[in-house]
Amino acid sequence: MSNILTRLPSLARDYSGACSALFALPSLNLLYSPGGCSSAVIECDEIRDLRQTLFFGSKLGEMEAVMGAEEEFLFQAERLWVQNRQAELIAIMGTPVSALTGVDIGAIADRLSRRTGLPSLALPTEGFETYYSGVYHTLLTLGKRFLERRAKINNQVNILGYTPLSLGKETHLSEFIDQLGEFGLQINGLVEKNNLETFKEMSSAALNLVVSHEGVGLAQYMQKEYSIPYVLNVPVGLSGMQQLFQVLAEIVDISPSYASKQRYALTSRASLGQRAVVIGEPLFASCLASCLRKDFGIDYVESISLMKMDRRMKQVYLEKALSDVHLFESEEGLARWMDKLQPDIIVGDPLYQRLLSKGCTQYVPMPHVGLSGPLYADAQYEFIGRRGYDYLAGYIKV
Amino acid sequence: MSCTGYIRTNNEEEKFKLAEIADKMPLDSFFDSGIADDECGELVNLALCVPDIDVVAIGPSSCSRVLYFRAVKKGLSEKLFLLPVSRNDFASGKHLEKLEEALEELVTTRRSKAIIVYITCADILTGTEFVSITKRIESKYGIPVKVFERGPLSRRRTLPKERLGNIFMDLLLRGVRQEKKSHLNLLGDAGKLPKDSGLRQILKNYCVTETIREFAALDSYEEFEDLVNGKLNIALDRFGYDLALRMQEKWDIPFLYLPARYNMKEIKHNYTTLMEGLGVTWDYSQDAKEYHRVIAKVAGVLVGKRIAVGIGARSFELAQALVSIGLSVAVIFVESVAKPDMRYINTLSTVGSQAEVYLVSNLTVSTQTGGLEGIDIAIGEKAAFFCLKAKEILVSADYRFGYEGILEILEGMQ
Repeated sequence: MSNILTRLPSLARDYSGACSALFALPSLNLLYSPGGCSSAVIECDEIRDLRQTLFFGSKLGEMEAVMGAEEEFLFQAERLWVQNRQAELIAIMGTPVSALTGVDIGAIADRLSRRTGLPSLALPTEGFETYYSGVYHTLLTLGKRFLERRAKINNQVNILGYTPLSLGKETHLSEFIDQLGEFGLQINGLVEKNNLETFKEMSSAALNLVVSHEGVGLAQYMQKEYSIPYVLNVPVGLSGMQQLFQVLAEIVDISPSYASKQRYALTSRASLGQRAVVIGEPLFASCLASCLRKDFGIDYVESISLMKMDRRMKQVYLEKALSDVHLFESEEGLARWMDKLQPDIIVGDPLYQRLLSKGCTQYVPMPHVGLSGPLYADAQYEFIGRRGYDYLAGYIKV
Repeated sequence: MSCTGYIRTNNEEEKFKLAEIADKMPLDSFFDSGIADDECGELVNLALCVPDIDVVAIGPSSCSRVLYFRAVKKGLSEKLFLLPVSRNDFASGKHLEKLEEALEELVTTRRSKAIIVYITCADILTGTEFVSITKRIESKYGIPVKVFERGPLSRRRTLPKERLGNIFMDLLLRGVRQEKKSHLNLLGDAGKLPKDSGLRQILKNYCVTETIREFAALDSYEEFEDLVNGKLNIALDRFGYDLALRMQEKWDIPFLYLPARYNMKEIKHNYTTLMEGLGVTWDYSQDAKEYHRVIAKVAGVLVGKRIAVGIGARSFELAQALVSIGLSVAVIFVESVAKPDMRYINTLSTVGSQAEVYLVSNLTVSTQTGGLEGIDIAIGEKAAFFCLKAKEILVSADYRFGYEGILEILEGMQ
C-alpha cells in the first residue's frame, strides 16, 4: 500500500511548526481555520503548556468558509488583542481551507496591523507542508521583519531552530546551554520565553548555532545581512561536544577548560563492523550518525529522514552538514531500504519500529515529537553531550 | 475546539452572571483557545469501534494526524488508514484515483466487512464527488463503502454523530433480520460498560436468558449486524437515542433512554424507566442511601470550599446537582451555552447561586495566569486547566448509571 500511511502518522504540519517557533515570543497566534485544525496543535504537536501562549483558532461555518470571513476575523482578532494587550506581535496562519478558498492572509495581517498598531505577520502555512517548512518560514519571517543592525557582542551566541518538534523538551538542551554558560557566553534564541526586544538582540551575536535544519534559513539570512557566521551542529554525544568546542575556539575565540575537555574526552572504541541507521530530523540524524561513528567506532552509519522536501527550502539542503542524509518520501520506500540493508543498530523514534521486520536489530529509542507527538515525549532519553553518550551506551553493545 | 460552526454573537466579555445569560444568548465565540476538547474525538473512535469496519481518512495530513493519535489512545489505530492528499492532488483531483486504488487494495488484503471513508473540509468545500468511486467498489466487491463528512463545515442540518448514526443504520439495513428476538442492545458511544456498573448488574439479574450486546464492545461484525434482532434497545446517550429511534421506526424494536445524570430527580427517573421497561421491580434504595450518606459526609468536609466546574457539555447539569446538595459552585467554564442548558441555569438562578460563568475562549491571559485564586476544587479538564492551585478532579468519559457518576465525583472531592 504505497499511498497509504498504514503504520505511521504524518509529520506535524507547517502551522504546528509555526506555532511552536512562536511559543517563546509574546505573540498572539491566530489560525484561520473552520475549527478543527487547532486540534492538531492542542492534542498532538505542542507538548508545552498552552496556558503560556496566546493561541487561538477560528471557527467558521460553511458560509463563512466559502464566502470568506475576513471582516469578522479582523473584528474578532482586534477584540482578542484588546483582551490580551501583553502581545507584542500578531501572527496569522493559514490552513487547507484558507489555501483552497484563496483567503488573502497577507491583506488580513496588514489591516490588523493598522487597526492595532502591532506588527502582524502573515505566515505562509497551508497545512500541506511539514512542520519543518513552518518553522523555517516563521523564523525567516521574524528575522526579516524584526532584526536590525546592531553592535556586535563578542560573547553572544544564538541558538537557532530549536523547537520541541525536532529536539523534544528544552530540558534536553540543558547540558548544552550549561556548557555555553560555563564559557561565559550569553545565549539568545527562542528556547525560553522572551520578549521581542530580546529577539531583536540576536543580530548582535558573534555566532549562530543552528540546531535543526529548519533554522538554516534564518542563519543564512543573518550571515548575509549581518555577517554572523553559523554552524550546523547538535552536540550529540562526546564528539558532538568536542566539535562544539572546536567551533567556539575558531569563531568566538573561546577555549574550553581542561575539565570540560576531560568531561568530553573521546573514548576509543574498536570498530566491530556493525552497521547502523539513524532516522530523524535531517540535522539531528546527521549529528547522531557522527556520534555513532566517532564515539562508538561504528564505521557504517546511514542517516535518514522520512519527509517530503519543501522546494522553497532547497537552499537548506545544499548545506554540507546535510549532504549525507537520505530523504525518503514514503514509508514503503524506507521499509524496503531497511529490509535490504538489514542494519544491526537503528536509532529513531519508537514508531519507526512498525516499519521493520521483526527481530533484526538493536533498537535505540530516540523520540521525535514531530512524528510521535506526545506518545513518547516524556520518555527518559538524552542525546546531548555526556548524558547523550551514556544513554546511547546503555543500548549499543560494542 | 468544537465540531459546530460559529454562531455570530456580540459577546466579548469573559464572564457572566447566571441571570444575564438568557439575555445574552447565544453565547459563543469566534475563536477557540488552546484547550483540548474531546467533542469530536469520539467520532473516529465510534467509527472504529465496530469490528471489521475499517476507516480510511483522506485529506490533508494536518487533518488526519490528529485522528491517528485519537485512535491510538483507544487502541484502535490498526483499523485506521490514512491517505494524505497534497495541494496538487486537490487541484487536479488526482486523490480520487489514489482513493480508489487504496480501497481496492484494502478490500482485497484486509477483507473488511465495511469501509467508512472520512473526508475533510477541503473535499466538502470543493464538492468532491465520491459516490461513483464508492459505488464501484461496492458493486465489485459486495461490501458497503460509506462516506462520512467530518469537521465543522459538515454541520449543515445534522450533527456529525447523527450522520454517523445514519451510516450505521445503512449498514444495519444490509443485515439479516430474523423473527426470533434474542438479546438486549446497549447503544452508546462511551465505550464498554465498566465491569462493576450497576446497570450491568441489574441486567444480569433480570435478563437471565438474554444476551447483552454493547455497541461499543462488539466482538464481531456479525454481532453488529445482529443488533437488528434485538428484543430491546437501551440508549445510553444522544447517539444511542438517535440510533434506537431509527431502529424502532424501521424494525419496531422498543427502547429505553437512560442518559447518565447527576441530579437525584433525573436519576430516579432513570431507575423507574428501566424498571418499567424491563417489567421488574428493583430496590435501589441502597443506592439512594449510599448517595445520601456520601452527601452528608462530603457536605461536612467541603463547607466553605469553592468549586469550579468545567466538564464540557454537562457542566451546568453538574453545577446544579452540586448546588442542590448544598455545595458552593463559584465558577462554571463553558465553550458555549445552548438552549438545553437553560433549564439548569434557571434552576441555579432560582436557588440564588452566585456562580460565575466563564466563556473559555474569551478568558484573558491575566485571568489565566492569575490561576483563578480562591478556587479549592476544580472538576473537569477545563476547570483544572485554569484553576492552577485547585485540587483537580477529572471526570471519566465512561457511562455511569444511576448515582455512580455523581458519587464518583463526590468521593473524589473528599
